Formats: sequence, structure tokens, C-alpha cells
Amino acid sequence: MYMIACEHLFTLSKNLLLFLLPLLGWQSIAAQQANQGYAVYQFLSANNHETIDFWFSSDAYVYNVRIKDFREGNDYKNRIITLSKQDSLAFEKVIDNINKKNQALPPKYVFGNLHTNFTLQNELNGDLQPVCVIDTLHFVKWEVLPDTLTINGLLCRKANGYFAGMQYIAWFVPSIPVAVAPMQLRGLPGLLVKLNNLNTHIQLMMTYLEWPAKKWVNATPCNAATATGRTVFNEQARIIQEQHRKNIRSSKTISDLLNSIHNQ
Amino acid sequence: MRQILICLLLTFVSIKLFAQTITIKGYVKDTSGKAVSYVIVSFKQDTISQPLVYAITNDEGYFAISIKQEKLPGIIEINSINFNQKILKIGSDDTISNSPIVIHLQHRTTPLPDVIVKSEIPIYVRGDTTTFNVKAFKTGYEKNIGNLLSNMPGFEVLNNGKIKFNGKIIDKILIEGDDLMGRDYGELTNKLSPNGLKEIDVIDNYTDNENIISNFDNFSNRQVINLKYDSGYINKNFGNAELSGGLINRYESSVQTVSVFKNFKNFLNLNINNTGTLSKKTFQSQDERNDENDLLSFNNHFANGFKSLVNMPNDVAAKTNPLYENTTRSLLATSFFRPLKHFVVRNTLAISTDTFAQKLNSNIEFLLPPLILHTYNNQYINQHINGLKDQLSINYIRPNNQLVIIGRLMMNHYTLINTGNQFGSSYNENYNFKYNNIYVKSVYIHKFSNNAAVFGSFQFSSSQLPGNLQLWPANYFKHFPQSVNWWFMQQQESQRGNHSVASISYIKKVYNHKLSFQLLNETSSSSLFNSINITDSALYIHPFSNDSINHFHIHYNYFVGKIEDHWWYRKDINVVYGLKYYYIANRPTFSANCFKQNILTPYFSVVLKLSTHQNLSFTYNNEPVYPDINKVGTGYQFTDFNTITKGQDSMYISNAKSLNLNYSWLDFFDKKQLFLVGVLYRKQPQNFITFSNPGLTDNLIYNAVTDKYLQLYSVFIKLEKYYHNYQIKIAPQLSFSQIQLYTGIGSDLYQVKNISTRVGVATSIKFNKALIADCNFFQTFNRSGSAYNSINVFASYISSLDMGLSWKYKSVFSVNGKFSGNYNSSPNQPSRFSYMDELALMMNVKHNLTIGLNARNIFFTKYFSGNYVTATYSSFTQYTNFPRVVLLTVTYTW
Repeated sequence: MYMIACEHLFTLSKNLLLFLLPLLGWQSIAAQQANQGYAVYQFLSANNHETIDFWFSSDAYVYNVRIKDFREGNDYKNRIITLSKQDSLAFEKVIDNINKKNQALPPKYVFGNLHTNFTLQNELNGDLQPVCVIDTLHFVKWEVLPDTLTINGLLCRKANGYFAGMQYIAWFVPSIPVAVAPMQLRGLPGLLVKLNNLNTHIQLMMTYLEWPAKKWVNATPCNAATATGRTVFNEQARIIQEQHRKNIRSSKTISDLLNSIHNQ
Repeated sequence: MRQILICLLLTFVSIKLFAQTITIKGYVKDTSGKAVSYVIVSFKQDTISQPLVYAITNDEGYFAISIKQEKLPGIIEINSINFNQKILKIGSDDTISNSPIVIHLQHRTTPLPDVIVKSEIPIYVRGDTTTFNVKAFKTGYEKNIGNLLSNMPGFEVLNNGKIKFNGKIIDKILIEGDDLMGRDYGELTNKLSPNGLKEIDVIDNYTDNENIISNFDNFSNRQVINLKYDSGYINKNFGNAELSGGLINRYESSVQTVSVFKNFKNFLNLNINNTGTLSKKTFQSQDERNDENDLLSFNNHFANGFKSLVNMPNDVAAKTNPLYENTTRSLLATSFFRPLKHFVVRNTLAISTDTFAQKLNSNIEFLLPPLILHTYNNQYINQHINGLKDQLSINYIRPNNQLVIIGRLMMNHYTLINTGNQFGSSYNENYNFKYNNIYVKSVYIHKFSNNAAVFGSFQFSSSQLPGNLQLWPANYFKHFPQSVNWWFMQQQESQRGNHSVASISYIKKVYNHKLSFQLLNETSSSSLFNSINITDSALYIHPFSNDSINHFHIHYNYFVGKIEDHWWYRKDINVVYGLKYYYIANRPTFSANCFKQNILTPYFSVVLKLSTHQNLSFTYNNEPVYPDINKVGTGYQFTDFNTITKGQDSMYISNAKSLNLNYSWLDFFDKKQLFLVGVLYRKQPQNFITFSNPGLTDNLIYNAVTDKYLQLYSVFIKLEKYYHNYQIKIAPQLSFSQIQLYTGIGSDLYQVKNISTRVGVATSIKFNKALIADCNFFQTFNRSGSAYNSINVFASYISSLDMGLSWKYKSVFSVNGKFSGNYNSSPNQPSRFSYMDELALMMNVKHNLTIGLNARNIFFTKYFSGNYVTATYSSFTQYTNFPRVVLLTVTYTW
């Protein structure tokens, strides 16, 4: 009996630890709200443009990729070109509905901190159900260079980065001494201002900064103990997406198309 | 022993090397002894220099920094947003312990300094769309979107208001996705104010949303601009009004309103001034390119241009033509309206009147050996130009069918009165021309499914150009009641032309293939009535000609587009190739023969996206060119083909082949440069008509050349380089073209070669966006050689220099200065100089009210041409002073 109780206690403690561990990094946030910042980054690639809201403190961060208007996505343009345009005027109303639905979806915040090598994201699966996804990250190796450049009034320093065969050039501001950054970009001795990927020509640019932040994000991380790995999550999403695309591509009339989009 | 010594020596050296790098280790803790993680530890030479090395503490607060001995002395600086900064000094003599040091930090007691940063990304690219953020490029001095686009990388604004981006012409300007003016957007470029603009999209591979079968093409080579406004300007009317008045009896006023609503867009511009701005170019050129996918354009497969008796003479070839006395009134109103679910209506109305007078002073020396005669001339020119244009189109769009109706009316009226003094007498010239043109077009499309459609089109146009020229001495009737040794000439001409095109096509799309079968009938008739009456002369010409062209052709296209049929389809390569077959039957009225011809013409285009920044395109076109009888290049003014014999005439329709290769490298992010190079080669065998004319004594067979272009080579290179985030722009350009053509008639047929080279550089420097300087210099060399008359090699040089300097103080006050100079030199023509300057001071009184002072031609006022020699003149100079203008301006914006 005693052994069984100990076993239960051990399991409970382990789960509690897994639950509390991510919060250890974030519990200081409430106590140190004066030392937090908020930045907006623009993520630019040849085919895509995203806006990232980034809240940060000395060792923790939360970020979110904003939901775009449906017309700004490649999805819209490709569908319009490859599918029928017979009722483009009525399709505008459909797009308005899609936008309203998208705006009503909860944001998919990503939580990270410097004490761990993983992030937690409040994801939505293909059926729009909330799923906690855990990403184990590997980070860019940075080498600080002596070059300086003033960007938007901030004196920045240059750094070269290498990751997965790709080369990065980053500009960071040492006067804001935080090593946090979105995705795998942490580790610079200052806040990231601008980043170029020299291989894929992707660019990340900071276009807004509040230091200190006027308002902190109202979000809590999901439970790591019940989190799904990213690979598994992507595979599940891919299967659902493929089915949706198949329905759209096989639409022969506008009503079929609208039905398949609504169902998605 | 020796080996031991070598070992000892190597050990000593290695110790020495290792001794040059020292490692400082330590722990960072707070005042309570708790480890502080992820703080930045850096080594610097002093407090103001940049860190040489840095480290970040781990979870235990541990760090290790390696420093080279020669970098000492220095400081260790520990920074964290939660703690006060700590600095430790390290001297060069200090002994660094192997044990880690412990550094205690105090919790931050002073608040962090506020930092707010706001910026916009100037340019970003998403697939086919390049988006420019207007705020990043706007300087505040732009009067229209043409000025704004000239400051943006990759754009070129042409004189007629057309825009090129990345070397490719922009097809249309959309306002929030809607097309107001179609291809004739030149006025929008020159007049629409950039107020309220938020972003400008350049959309490549554009397909027209108002054409229900435009998705049949997988790839389109069209590029458009979409203007996007700030949310505060949507669903509103906005605009500005400007009123100016001053010396000497000068005034300018303009009102502009723009409405941007979801189903209604409108642009209205009214302008009245007497400061020398002409508006006659509104009506002179229409961009009619054959593109059946563009439902709003009129297609002319075979051009039927009128041959004007005279080009309106104007000896003043100055750059912007400032004039002695003029009045201009112009109105442009263009609207887009979606009144009902399936209807789109658009209308463009343009009205303009120009009235001006000019005085030119000329000094002439005549060589009449043994005499040299001097004369001074005062020449007066009075000119009136009135124009009216209206184009209305209605587009009825339903899911499976579409009807488009377009109507256009153009009326131009030119009157030029030229009065001059010569040898103490005066003469008058009076030109009076009216040009009327009506176009009507209707298109019907019926779509059977997503893959098949029928396209029917009918187009009719009618044009008239009656004209009247009179030349007589002013004192003719007073001093010479009998016609002795003085002449009076009157020439009248009247040209009429009607043109109609009817076609029906069946289009079928099969996967990536598109097939279309077209039946087309085109009818054209034109007549020219020309009479010249000259008193005291036996010369009297009264010709008349009339020809009509009827033909049928079957048009068969076969397209294959090589595009990956994938959901996220890649546009790395687009290949379109096809074959056109023409069967043409033509019966001109001067001939009893009906000419029949079969033509098979292949064409293809390849567009490769070599990388995210590089595009390469190669196109080959092969189109039949129909000889136009009205373009006969003879040295005589007759065009009477009714008297020629009917037995030996023949007409040839030839193929015009053109190859076009374009390469562009556009990199806004890393290299910040744009590089364009293009090569165009066009070959068109000469079109000619052979005939014999029994009315002439020689009884020879003549070849009358109807189309002159034979071979055209053209190369252009352009580089735009930006430094420091677009603060400095340098853009050299080089273009070269060579045209070989034939002109003349019969035994006088000869080859002429024209070569033109244009080189120049455009530069612009911005200092903190408040002070901007720009300088553009271009030089054009034209050379013309004739195989017939090889000793006469004509060459001309045109230089232009534009400089500007602008300074702004906090959006409150601004000063703007400009200078432009123009020099034109050609053999047997007087060289022409002109200079102009402009100075403008503006002050923002309230956020929507601006007061300014504008002065023009204060220092540089001359138009001057002079000094050339012919067999008759030994020298010729001509000059005039541009009027000085000083205006007080009030601008109100709402």
C-alpha cells in the first residue's frame, strides 16, 4: 500500500513538475512588468509576408503571428487564377465571411524562455480544435562583428549567424540587453532589430518597439504534459489540409467551391 | 642534447602563445546571493567603445570570457534589464585568478529610458506583387503620382505619363483594385495628387477580373499598378484647391477631388492658368495595342493613320514651352461606378482649350553676292487649340456571359496664325484643322464551361480631318492690287476614313493548352481631297484618291503553357508558344486585282525566374504588316492612284519579325540595386506598291514604298544603385538604337540609316529626408547617313540638364529650387538653347492650409537659337525672353 501510494505521489509530482517547469520562467514576468518590452516584426519572404507581435522580458518571451486578411494570402490569388471567376462579385461576400471567422479564432501564442530549449504553442488542428504543440529548437550560432549601423535611431551591432547550412546577418541593439528573439534566433547580446537570410533571402525587420511595454499580453501557456510534438502535429494537419484542397480543386461550380471553403 | 633544447624551445613558445589569451570566469548573483541568468557580460576598452567580446550567463549565472592580453586594459560590463549596470576595471598588470570571480548586481532602481520606435518597411515582395510603402518615399514636394513614382526604385515615368517598372510598361493604374481609365492613364499620372496614398502595389502577371475568360490564360505578361489609400481616405471625398496670382497679370488655379468608395470611384481635375502650361497633348495619342483580352481597348490590326498636310509648325522647341501670352483651361473627370450587381460603368471626359501668342525676334543675313543683306524679323504666332474627348463603357458581367459596350468621341480643333515681317513687309499664315473621331465597340462573351467560350466583337470608327492653309502677305491687297511678283496660296484638304472590324472566336482550354479559332473581317476606306490654289502660278493640283480594304482571315492559335500543375504552382518558368495562320484577301480601289495571301506565323515567349531577384524573358513575334497606301513615301504631294495602269500593280504583305531579350536584377533588400538590360531586334521587309503612271512622261514602273522600317536594333542598359537605405541614388542609363529604312520612289529609292545613342545619369541625395538634391543629365546623339547621298551625314545633339534642391523644416516650411536647361543642335538648323528656373517657398499655416510664393524664369529667361549656314543664309539667330512669373499661392486640402 505504502509503495503504491509512493508511486502515485511520484507520478503526481512528476506531472506537477512538468506542468510547473515552464511556468518557472514566466512567473517572474508578473513581478517585473516594468522591465518588459513589446516589438513588432515583419517577416518577409518571396511569397509571404507575416507580422509578428513579440512581447519579451529578460529571459522569457511570447509571440504571435497575426492573422491576415484572406486576400493577402497566396491561397486567395492562386485560387482566383486557377479556379473559375464566374461570380467574383458574390465571392467578395464569401471572403468577408472567411475574414470574420479567421478573426474570431483564438491567437496561437508561442511561449519560450531562455531556460529551456523548447517552445509551447497554443495551436489549432485542422478541425479548429485547440492543441498544445511543443517544439524542440536548435539555435543559431552567432559571431559578433565590429560593424555598427543606426537603424530607426537605434545604434545596432552586426552579427553573423550559421544554422542548418544557412548564413544569417543580424543587427541587434546592445542598449536593450536581452538575449531573447523569436524562432531559433535567440542568443544575441541585445534585442534583434533586423535579420537577413543570405541563402533564402528571407528578412525579419523590427518596425515597432515599445520599451518598456505599455501593456503585456493576456495569455497563458498550454500544458506541456499534454503537448504534441510538432512533427506529429504537422502530419495530422497535412492530411486534413490535403483533403480540403482536393475538395476545392475538384469544385466545378462556384457553389461547390463555396461549400468546400465553408467546410474548411 | 640538441633535441632536448628544441623541445624546451617549443614548449617556451607555446607557453608564450597561450599566455597571450586570458580567460575571465565568474558568477553573477544578485544581492541575496541568487544566481542571475542570461545577463550580458562584455569586455570593452572603455565605457564608450563597442564591446570586443561578450558572453551570456547560463542558468547558474556562470560566464567565461576569453580576452587577448594585448587588448588590456579594459572593462568588464555587465548589463541586464532587471539590474543596474556594473562595470569592473581590468588593468594590464592585473593578475587574473583561475578561480571564478563573483559579481553582485543590484536590482534596478532607476526606470529604463523609454524608447518608442515606429518605422515602415519601404518595399516588400510577395509572389507577383511588389508593394511600396508611400511614406518611406514621399518627400512632400510631389504634385502628382508621377513625381512620387520617379523617386521610387525601379520606376520610370515617360513624358506622355506612361510608367515603366523594371523596364516593362505598366498597363493600367487601378485605384483600390478598380480600373478607371484603361490604358490611357497618362493624365492620371500627371494630375492625381499623392495625398492619402498608403501603398502602391505593382502586380505582375495580371489577369483582368472583369473578363470572365481571363483565367483561360495561365500566364499573362501584363503589369499594373494598384493605388491603395489610408483607411481615413476610404469611403470619403478628398482633394485640394490651389489658387495663385501675381506678376505680371498671371494666375493659376486648380481644383482636384477624389472619391474612393467601394462601388464608386471618381477623379476630377480642373485647371485654369495663363502661365504657359499646355494641355493639347491630352488628345494627341491613344494607346491602341492589339490585345483582345483587354475588353476596354480598341483593336486596329491594320493602322489607318491620316497623313497630315502639315505638322503644326512651332519654331519654339524649348523644353516646356513657356510662352509670351497664353491661357489654358482643362477639365478631366474620370469615374468608375458599379450601380448594380452585374454592371460596371466607367466614363472619362476631358475638355481643354489653349490660346497663346508668342513673339520671336530673328536676325538674318542673306548672302546675295556682292551684297550681304541684313534683316531683322519680328514673328508673331497666335495659336488656338480646343479639344473634347469622352469615352463611356458599360460592362455587364454575369457568371456565364458578358457584354461590353464602349463609345468614344474625340474632337480637336487647331488654329494657328503666324505673322511675320520680312524685308520690311509682313506675311500671314493661317492654318485651321479640325479632327473628329468616333469609335464604337461591342463585345459579347458566352462561356459554356470553365474550359470553352465564344467571343464575338464588332468595332466601328469614323475619322475626319478637314484642313485649311492660307498664306498671303499682310499688305497684299493694300500695296499690290494687281498680283505682280507676290503670291497668295490657299491649300485645302479633307481626309475621311472609316474602319470596321468584326470577329468571332471559339476558345477552348484543354489542361495547359488553349486553342482559339477566329474569323475576322476588317474593312477600311479612306479618301483624301487636296486642292492647292496659288495665284500667278500655273501650278494646280487637284487629286483625289479612295481605297478600301476588305479581307477575311481565319485565325488559328495554338498555345502551350509549360507550367507545373501544382496547387502552389511555381512560376519559375513560363513558356507560351503558338502558331497563327492568316488568309488575307484585299481589293484596293486603285487596282482591278484582288490580292490574296496566306501567311503562317509562329511566335513564342519564355519568361524565366532565375532567382528571387532575377528575371529573364525572351520573346519572338511574327506579325503580318499591311501596307498602308496613305504612308507612301514620295517626294511629291500627289496620291492619285486612279490614273495608274491596272495591269502591273502588286501589293505585298510582309511579316514583321521581332526578337526581344530582357534581363532584370532587382534586389531591394541586400544589394539595393536594380539592373536592367534589354535588346530588341525588329526586321520588317519593306512593303511597296509597284505601278506605272501614264500621266508621267517617263512611263517607268515605280516602287512606292509604303512602310519604311526595315531593321531596328535597340539596346538599353540601366542601373539604379541605392546606398544607406535609399538616401543616395545613382542611376546611369545607356540606350542605343539603329533604324535602317528605305525611302523615295522609283529610281530615287535609297537607304537611310538613323542611329541614336542616349546616355545619361540621374542622381539624388537625401540628407535626413529634410534636404534633398537631385541632378539628371542626359545626352542624345543622333546620326543619319544616306547611301544615296553619302556626303550628307546628318547629326544632331540634344542635351538636357535638370537640377533641383529642396529643404524642409519640420513639415512647416519648405524651399524648393529647380533649374533646367536644354540644348539642341542639328546641321542646317539653328542651335537652340533654353534655360528655366523656378523657386518655390511654402509654409504650412494649418494642417490643411498652405501659403506659398512661386517664382519662375527670374534668372534664366532665354530661348536662343542661332548661327547656322546654308546656301542662302549666312547666319540666323532667333531669341525670345520667357515671361517672368511671380505668384502668391494658397492651397487648401480636405
